Amino acid sequence: MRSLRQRILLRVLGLLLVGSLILSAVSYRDAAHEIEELFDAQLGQSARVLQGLLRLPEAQVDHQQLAAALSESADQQPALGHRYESKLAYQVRDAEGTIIARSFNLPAMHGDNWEPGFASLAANGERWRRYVLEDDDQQLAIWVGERADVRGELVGKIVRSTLIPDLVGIPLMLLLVWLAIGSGLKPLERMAQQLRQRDPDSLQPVLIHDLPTELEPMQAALNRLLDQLGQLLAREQRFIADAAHELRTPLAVLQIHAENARAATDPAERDAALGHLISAVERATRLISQMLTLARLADDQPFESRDIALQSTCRNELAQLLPLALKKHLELQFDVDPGLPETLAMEPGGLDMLLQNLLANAIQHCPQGGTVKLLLKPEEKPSPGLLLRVENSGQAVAAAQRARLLERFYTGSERPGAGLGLSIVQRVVERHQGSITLDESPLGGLRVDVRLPPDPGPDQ
Amino acid sequence: MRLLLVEDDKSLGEGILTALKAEGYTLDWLQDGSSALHALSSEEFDLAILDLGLPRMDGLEVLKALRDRHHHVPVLILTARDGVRDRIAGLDAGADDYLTKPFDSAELKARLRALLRRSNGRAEPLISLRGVVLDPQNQQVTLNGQVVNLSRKEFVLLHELIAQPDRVLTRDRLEQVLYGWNEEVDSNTLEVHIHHLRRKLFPELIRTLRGVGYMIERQT
Repeated sequence: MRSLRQRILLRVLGLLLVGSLILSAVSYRDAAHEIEELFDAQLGQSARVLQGLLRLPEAQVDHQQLAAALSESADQQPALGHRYESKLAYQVRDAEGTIIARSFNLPAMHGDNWEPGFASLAANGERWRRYVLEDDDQQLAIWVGERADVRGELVGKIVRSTLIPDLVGIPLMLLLVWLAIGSGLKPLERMAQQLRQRDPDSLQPVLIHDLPTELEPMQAALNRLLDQLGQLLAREQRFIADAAHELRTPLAVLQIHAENARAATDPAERDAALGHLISAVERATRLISQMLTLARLADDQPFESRDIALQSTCRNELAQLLPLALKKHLELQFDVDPGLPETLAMEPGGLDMLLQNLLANAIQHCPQGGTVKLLLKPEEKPSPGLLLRVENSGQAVAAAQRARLLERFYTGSERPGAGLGLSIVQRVVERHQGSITLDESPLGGLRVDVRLPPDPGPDQ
Repeated sequence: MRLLLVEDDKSLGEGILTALKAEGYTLDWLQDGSSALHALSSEEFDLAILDLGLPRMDGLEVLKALRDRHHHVPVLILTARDGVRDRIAGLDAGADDYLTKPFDSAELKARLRALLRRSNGRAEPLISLRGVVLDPQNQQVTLNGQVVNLSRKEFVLLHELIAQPDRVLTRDRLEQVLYGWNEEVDSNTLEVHIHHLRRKLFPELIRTLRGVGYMIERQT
């Protein structure tokens, strides 16, 4: 894109040219008209002067002598005359139609009807402007004329000389406009310069002093964008740093067991190392899929909620985790309140994620032979919605530790897992504008209450 | 040599134990910071491998507390925190070495050998004394150029004594080196191993200080 200065200058130049062209055309036409009138008036005056001369007693006698005197004076170029003077031509006709006097420089004017007043005509290939004055007292008609082309030339000269200042003025004006635009755009240039001088890594807000009001919204929008970008970047960086950090230990586990397998001297040792290696791969895979889930949930993309069948989803998830529970001889309880609605509008897969993580956690941290309970019921207080409660028996989690359980990658002491399950749950709950609370369960272990509003709508 | 491993990741801890088993160290393993601090300040270890992200007490705090008590046990930090600032913080807190996860177990072993060597005031990898040469890396002992076959326990015992010449090592200390926490101690065994060592090398090498312990002298 061209510079703002050029754009403005080109537009101003164009408008100025068109404007002065129209103005010049109008003033040319007006001036030409006025000058024509002036010349006509002069012609009329000349006719009257001639009439006055012809009334002199001497003139009655000798028209020849008068004509000679007139043409003589006209032929002499007076030093004090004006360059716009035109040579006057005349002829005088008596009542019978005989030309009794004429100037020498006038060719024969055939075809003129001697109609009194002004008229334009052509004779001998030249165009003329003439005025006929009838003198009724002397029975004479006086014809005064001048060459139209000469007159036109004069008119052109006069009008052109009035346009010269315009022609000189336009470039001068453009120069001034150029300078004015330059100084008007100074704040913009200053802003650009400040932006150029910024550290490219800096997302600090732009603060320019004495900013014109037109640029303030731009600065505000820029700062808003920088702020959003900063938040996004910080979140991404935190996630990448966390991910890189959290992957180091699983990788170290993989490496050491692989190396042990290679260094093993007997098959039993090798099998043990390979067994460790396989479970380490499973663990790393689980960690990565959880991290990806969390990353996907982290963006604020709105989702389309659908009616999710509550009870069948719960039964599916319970069925999937049943083998794990049976292995630990746990009692799995599923309680449904009779007033529970059939469905709830949720993001597809959201309820599955909630149940998977909450139930898997509860089962994992429940001692052998303990109890894990899942409860679903509608709630009116504190706000209408659905309560989803998962609790287990076992050892209570200390309050200080409970508060940290929702932190990403936080695993309490001696807790297996990556510490992402509850973060995923929390994120899903946030996306549905619900709430999550961790408490001590009457069963002894942890109780997680998730409350979901009836129509969560997209998370914005 | 008695080492303490402080690592909260169970699988990694098991892997390290397996990897270092062949090195002839006696290795004890703890999984949280506060019990590590307790063990390090109440018992004697030749070296500690310390993770930083530990439950109950961060590894860096353990290290600082240890150095505040003027405890000079060599510490190798083994951690996932790989930033330059983390390394600087670790070394400045008193660590002798810093290794980031994931790591090569051969490198870990080499670093442990180097640290143990340095802590005993040596720069050369072989320990040589009165015709006995001990190679910690290959776990080999020669007497006047002839290879001497030693059992693992005998090697551990000789290594401990020969690495700290002119220093009396108590029975308790040597027993800890031999058995760690997990093995039952048979009260005769230390004497049996010393007896074997004297027979396989030469009797004057190891001096008995009755009621106190044993020592190897640089010169007689």
